[in-house]
Amino acid sequence: MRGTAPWLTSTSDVIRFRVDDLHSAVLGIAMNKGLYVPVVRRVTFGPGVVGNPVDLNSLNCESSTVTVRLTNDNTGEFYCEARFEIVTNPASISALQ
Amino acid sequence: MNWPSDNWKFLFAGDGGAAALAFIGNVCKRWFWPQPPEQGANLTAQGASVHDSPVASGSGITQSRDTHNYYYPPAAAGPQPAVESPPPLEPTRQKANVKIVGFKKIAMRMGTDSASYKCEPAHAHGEAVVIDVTNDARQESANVEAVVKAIVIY
Repeated sequence: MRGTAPWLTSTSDVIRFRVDDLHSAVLGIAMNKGLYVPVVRRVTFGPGVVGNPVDLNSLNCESSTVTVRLTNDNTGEFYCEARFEIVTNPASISALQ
Repeated sequence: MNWPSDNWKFLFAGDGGAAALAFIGNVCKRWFWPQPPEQGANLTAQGASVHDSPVASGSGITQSRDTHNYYYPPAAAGPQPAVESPPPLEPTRQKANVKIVGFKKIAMRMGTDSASYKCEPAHAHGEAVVIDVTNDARQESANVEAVVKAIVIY
C-alpha cells in the first residue's frame, strides 16, 4: 500500500515547514481494537475547489514495516527517508535501521 | 685655308660626302629640333630608399598611380573545433533542513474539519502512531521554509 500520510492539525496532504517548525505525520490510528492507516487523497471538486478526504485502510496483520519518505511538494526535492515497524495490537512504533 | 674649297668634290662626293651630310644633319637636328621629354623611365625600388630620383624631382612631372583594391571574402565558416565548455552552473537552491527526529504514540482526536489533533487521553477517539519532523535552523547556511509531503509505503 502506498499513499500520502496526513499531518496533525492539517486538513491538507502537505504542510508548510517554517524554520524551526515541528510537525507530526500520522502513520497509523488505533481504534476499535484495530490499526488503520490513514491516507490522504487530493480530490478536485471543481475549479479552484480541492478537497483532501482521508481514507482509513485497515492493517490486518500483527506488525508491518513502513517506509516514510519526505519530499518537497513543489520541487520534488528529497529530504529524508526512514523505515519503521508498526505493531497493531497494542499499537506501537519502532525505528528500523 | 683653301682646303674646303680645294676639296669640294671630295667632301660632297662618294662615301665621304654621305658621311659629311649625315654629320651636319645630325648636328642641325640637335640644335634646332625640339627634343621630346624622356619617356618610359622605369624605377623599381622595393624595400629601398631612392635619392635624386628622376621621377620625383623636376617640374611639370605628372605621376599617376594605379590603385588596385583586392577584396578577400571571409573564409567560409567550416566546422568549428570542439571546445570543452564548462558545464552550466545550476542555480543554487537552498535546501530546507527537514529531518525526522522521533516517533511516538499519542492520544488523538478527530476534529470537525477532518483533521487530527493531539488531545488528552480522556477526550481521545483513539491512539495514533506518529513521526516528528522538524526544519531546524542551521548556523552555517541559509534557512528556508518548505512545503513537505510524507509518502508512506506499507
